[in-house]
Amino acid sequence: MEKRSITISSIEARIASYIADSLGIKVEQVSLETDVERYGLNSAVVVSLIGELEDWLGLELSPSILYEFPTVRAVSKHLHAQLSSD
Amino acid sequence: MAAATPERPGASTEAIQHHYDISNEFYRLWLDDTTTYSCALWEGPQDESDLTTAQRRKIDYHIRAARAAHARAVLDIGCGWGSVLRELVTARGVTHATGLTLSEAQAGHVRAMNLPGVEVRLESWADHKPERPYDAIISIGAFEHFASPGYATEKKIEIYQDFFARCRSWLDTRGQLSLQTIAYATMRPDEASAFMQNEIFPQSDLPRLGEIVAASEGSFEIVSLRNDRLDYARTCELWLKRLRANRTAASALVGEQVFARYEQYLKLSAVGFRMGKICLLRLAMRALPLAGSARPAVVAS
Repeated sequence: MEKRSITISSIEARIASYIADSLGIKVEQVSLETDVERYGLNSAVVVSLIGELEDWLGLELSPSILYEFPTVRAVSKHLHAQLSSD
Repeated sequence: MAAATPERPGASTEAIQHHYDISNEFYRLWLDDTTTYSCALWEGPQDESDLTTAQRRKIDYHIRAARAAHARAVLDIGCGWGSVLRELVTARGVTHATGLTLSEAQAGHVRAMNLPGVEVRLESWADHKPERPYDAIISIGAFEHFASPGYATEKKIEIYQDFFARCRSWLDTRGQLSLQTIAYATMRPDEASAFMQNEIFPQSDLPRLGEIVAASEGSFEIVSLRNDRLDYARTCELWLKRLRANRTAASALVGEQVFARYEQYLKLSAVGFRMGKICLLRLAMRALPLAGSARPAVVAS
């Protein structure tokens, strides 16, 4: 996928879908405004999610990005801004 | 890797060397200027000190907590590449500083520094027989290797009790111990990562705070206790950043696979500390009076 075609919504959808798959819940049940920490993901899942985002977006990310930008919405916005300035 | 030998519980010499003897040059690429391989110390999230400054602050904290400045003899259990030993004898007026490590690479590095008054021994605390009492003991990042995965809590406490009793017996009457270790927090031992326990720190299992408290009873009183897990998250993030910035040089030294393994280990650790799955304990401990004797139990010289 061309980086230019990646939108904030597509990043949000990708992260929400990853969280839903990991927890075995429907993607609609993942709130974009809830702290990701509250979903109780284990460390390996968080690291793997960040790794997937790194591969997809072609960015090197801090493992703590989901603590600096704790919600799906906040981290997606941040990642999109990073892509645009890349 | 072979199981820990029954004679000495916890990580074997081979298991320790699997991690620490990869390459001194490799570690130098991503640790700070003092080559300190343990959690640094910041004064809160607003403190913008760099890694070296935060490591120096941590070393200073332990020297104060153990009351080691100007001491005649200090023991450093798990001395790493000698940053505490160096500080003790070059800047804190300590006459004799003894370092214990099971890593040949670390022992060789410390010996090569030719520090006045420093002796480094390739020896476990369980085999240590000092010739004179110590005034202070510092142990940073060694306790994590004293027990192995699968040990029952009772067995872990027994090992830790032995450690504290020995430390107590080596200390002068008013001596203090400053201990720093990673511990399980919300994570249970059976939830620990197989990758970390097999590929990164073989034969090593973390303690729980309750086990440390129970094991130290009768030997030490706890003077202060801090949990600085966010400092360790920050330390791991900075190590990871430096490791990635030196990807080419690091891979040339240890290979792509080892590089990837360390990258994953630092990511998992940073997230584990951020989430509170694991924590970072710093305990200042004061020696309790020895039962039936006012003298430390050391080998007569």
